Amino acid sequence: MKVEFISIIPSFGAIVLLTISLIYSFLKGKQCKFSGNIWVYVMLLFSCFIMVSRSSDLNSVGFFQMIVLVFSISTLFFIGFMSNKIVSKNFEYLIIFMFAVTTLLLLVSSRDLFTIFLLIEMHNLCMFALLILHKDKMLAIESSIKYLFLGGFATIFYGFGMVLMYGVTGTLSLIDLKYYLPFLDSNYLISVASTCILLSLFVKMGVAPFHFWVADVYQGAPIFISAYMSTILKFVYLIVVGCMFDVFGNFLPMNFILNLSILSIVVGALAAVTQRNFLRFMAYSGVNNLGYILILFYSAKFETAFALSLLYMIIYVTAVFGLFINFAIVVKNSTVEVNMQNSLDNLIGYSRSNPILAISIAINVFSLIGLPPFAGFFVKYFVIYSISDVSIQYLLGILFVVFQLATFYYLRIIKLVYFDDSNYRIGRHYNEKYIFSVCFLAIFSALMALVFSFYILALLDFFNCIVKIYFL
Amino acid sequence: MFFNLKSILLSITFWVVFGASIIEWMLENSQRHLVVLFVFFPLLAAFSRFFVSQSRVGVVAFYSTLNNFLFMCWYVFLTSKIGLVDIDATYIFGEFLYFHLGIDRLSATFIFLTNLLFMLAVLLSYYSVQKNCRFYFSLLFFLEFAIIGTFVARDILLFYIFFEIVLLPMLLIIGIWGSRPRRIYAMYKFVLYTLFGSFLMLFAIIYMYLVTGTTNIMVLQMFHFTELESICLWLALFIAFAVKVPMFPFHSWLPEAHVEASTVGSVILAGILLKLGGYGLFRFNISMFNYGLEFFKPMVLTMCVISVLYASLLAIVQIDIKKFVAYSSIAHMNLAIAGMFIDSSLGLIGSVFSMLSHGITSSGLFICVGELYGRYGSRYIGYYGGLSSFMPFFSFFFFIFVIGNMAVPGTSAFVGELFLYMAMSSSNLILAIFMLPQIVLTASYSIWFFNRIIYGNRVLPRNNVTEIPTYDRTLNVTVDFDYREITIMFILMFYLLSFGFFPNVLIQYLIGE
Repeated sequence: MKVEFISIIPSFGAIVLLTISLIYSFLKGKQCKFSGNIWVYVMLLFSCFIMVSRSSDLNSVGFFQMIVLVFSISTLFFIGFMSNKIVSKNFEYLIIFMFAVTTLLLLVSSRDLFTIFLLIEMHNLCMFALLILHKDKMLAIESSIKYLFLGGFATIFYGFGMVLMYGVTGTLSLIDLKYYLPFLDSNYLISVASTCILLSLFVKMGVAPFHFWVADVYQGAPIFISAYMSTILKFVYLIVVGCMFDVFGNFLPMNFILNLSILSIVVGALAAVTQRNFLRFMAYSGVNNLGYILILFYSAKFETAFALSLLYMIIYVTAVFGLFINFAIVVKNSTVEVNMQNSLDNLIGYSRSNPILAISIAINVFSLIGLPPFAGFFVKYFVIYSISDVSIQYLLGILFVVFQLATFYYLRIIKLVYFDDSNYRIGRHYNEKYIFSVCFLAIFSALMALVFSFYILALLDFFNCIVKIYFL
Repeated sequence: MFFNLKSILLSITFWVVFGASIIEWMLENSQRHLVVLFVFFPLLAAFSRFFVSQSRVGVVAFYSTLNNFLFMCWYVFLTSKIGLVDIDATYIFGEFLYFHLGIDRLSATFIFLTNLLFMLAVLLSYYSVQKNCRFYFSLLFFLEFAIIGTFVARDILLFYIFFEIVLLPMLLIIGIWGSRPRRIYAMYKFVLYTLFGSFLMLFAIIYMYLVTGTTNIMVLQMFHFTELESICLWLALFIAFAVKVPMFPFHSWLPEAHVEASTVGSVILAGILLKLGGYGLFRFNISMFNYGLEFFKPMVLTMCVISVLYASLLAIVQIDIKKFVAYSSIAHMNLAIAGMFIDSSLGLIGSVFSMLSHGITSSGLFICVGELYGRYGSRYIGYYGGLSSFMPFFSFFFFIFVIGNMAVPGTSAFVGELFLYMAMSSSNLILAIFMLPQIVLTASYSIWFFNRIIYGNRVLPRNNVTEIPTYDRTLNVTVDFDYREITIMFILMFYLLSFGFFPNVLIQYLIGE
């Protein structure tokens, strides 16, 4: 089992320190309070140390881990911003979150089917605890149980595929498999095994037709866990999926994957049109964008496809995280009752309360629509380019319709923010709780959407290099 | 506020700064890079508006646009000497998107119109924008940047990028400063309709890039596509521009968007954004795909004729004064487009002339109509009558633009229509015969519209006619145009009549030498 243990030092160190502080406060007899900022800086320091020390091994794992750390630190800021009494009382929440981050850090660096299996299961367990923050709400219980069951279901398929693969080839190491499989004839069992593995990963990501859990889980989760799930989790699973495409590329049923991606695109777009809840809306738009990413794997050879899909995922994740942060700022700063807290109508009139953050929402949404000059346009251009390269004309027709549908439901956010339907405003906005870190994150995501568009070719070259040094 | 010492000094300072930089660039013989400055000056203006205080932002905006306008006049002069000013700046995007800009005489004509109309737009919205002034002027300058970018791009992908950037500030301007709840519906319709065409254009661009390996307009004009490719690509690009122009099946966004936008939004929509469609047709559809062009010419001409007659007939029966001007816009633009698709250089010149004069007349009409709406709060035509008795300036300028709409000799619209009909009669007589009712219908709807509003008896306000409670319509001297509005109208009238009486200026500029 080849796993770089050094990479988990930051998060593991954080876990150790937090546990020590918990035990200390328990021994002292007082309640351990969540002052999240200190541990964030601890984690930052450790991660810098790690990134410097990784220069010996030329591998793109460091970049992926850095992305995971960046987004988990952002989520920590998010938790700190949203911290209410429940999080402060349950200090172990932070420890479990650190466990989840540790598993992700290990997941991007794992080169073995069994390791991935263990880490996915460990992450499922952590998420099961993280999702159920508001213990007495039915939606939270529903989301947690759905995640556990469906994650377990996916892991069962993964286990089945893994066992079958071991039975056929005698090894579980992905590195050995990559060099060994081309010498085999196209063995039907290997196809079945690799398809099982890949489909289980698709279930975890939320690709149609395995997407039905995504909306319900996001709706019941606390908003920072939704942000965490829809951004960094998708990114990490994309890396694992890319790993699988690299190893099992010839044995996978590409037409089937094409059908899955078309289904994702269409289902995600159609379902997102009617959503009134922000979290469900983001879930379905995630399904839609995952479809675009999967098409890349069908229509280009592996290196180009992986690089383009990583680029798309980075830009998508930045925009989505910015939207989540902006929405959280809106909700935190308005007098809204708890049941209506995640409704999209909370955004109404935001351009009057805080014009700068409204511009941040606008830029993120325009990037997601795919409007020039923001970065989302260029990645969609690459997707259409790679589709045209393999001449799937009917898909272009479907994309033509779906793009307009997507424009409509993203424009609805702009409408709510800017074109004031003040009769339907749920709460009133007031300008009190603006923590610098969260505002910085919100504006930073908008800036990234602008800046990436200028350096899009540099980013493409960068991701091509990342894929080239992505040794298995 | 205009003519006090401070503003004069401010304008002199602006000109000294920019004039010095102009002279310096000229001395270095690097006039080409001024194109980049040209495109990005409005963008700089857009960002800098946030740092100006709310009360002074109008003044600063006006002087920026005045500056841009005079700057552009100098540039028009430059292209009349050189012909094509080209800059190849591939430093930003690299291989797949050449940041390739260039101005030739056709572009310069439209950029002239753009700068003129934006200067007038800033003058117009001086006092009428109450909320979010800085954001408004920033959006206006961002829009100007995007529009000039489309006219200046010499690379089809760059053109497409600017073409879509235009939508962004336009949708915000329609949505935030429009007046009725229907503006949201109009915004969605406008954006989705335009994106419908734009996505087709994107697919066509990608296909062209895959086949030819380049997106440079000059190279693509010389490339020989197969017949099927030519047809499909031409059709895709045509639909994109037909939505913008707008032509008959794709026109239903225009009455909505024009009615719901504020006055300035309508002025810019009608004055410039429609010309984007005409310019695109000129640049891409006529020059690039010969087989597709020949194949589709009858269809295009039929669509133009149907649009012209349909829109003219609809304009007669409108009761909303803004919708009336919108339908007359459709009619005029389609007449100009019909002139492009006949094999005649006279037709092309007439088309450009007609588009230019349509920019001026329909902007003038929208300003007049918008002023009425701003004063009385009603767009219902039955509400108005006998305005000439107490709004003499308004009546005079309204008259000038109505006769411009009708293409009475003496206005530039007449020159455009004359050339168009001459070209149509010589090349395609049946087209001319079917277009002829347009002259009668235009005259009829223009005169009837004008008569109902300006002449006749003064009408007392009825109970359930208006949407918003209005002022009392007694003889009130301050209801007529004030100094600022007379300036705007006078500038437009000046260009309308000067191009009408001295068309050679523009014709020789367009032809060359």
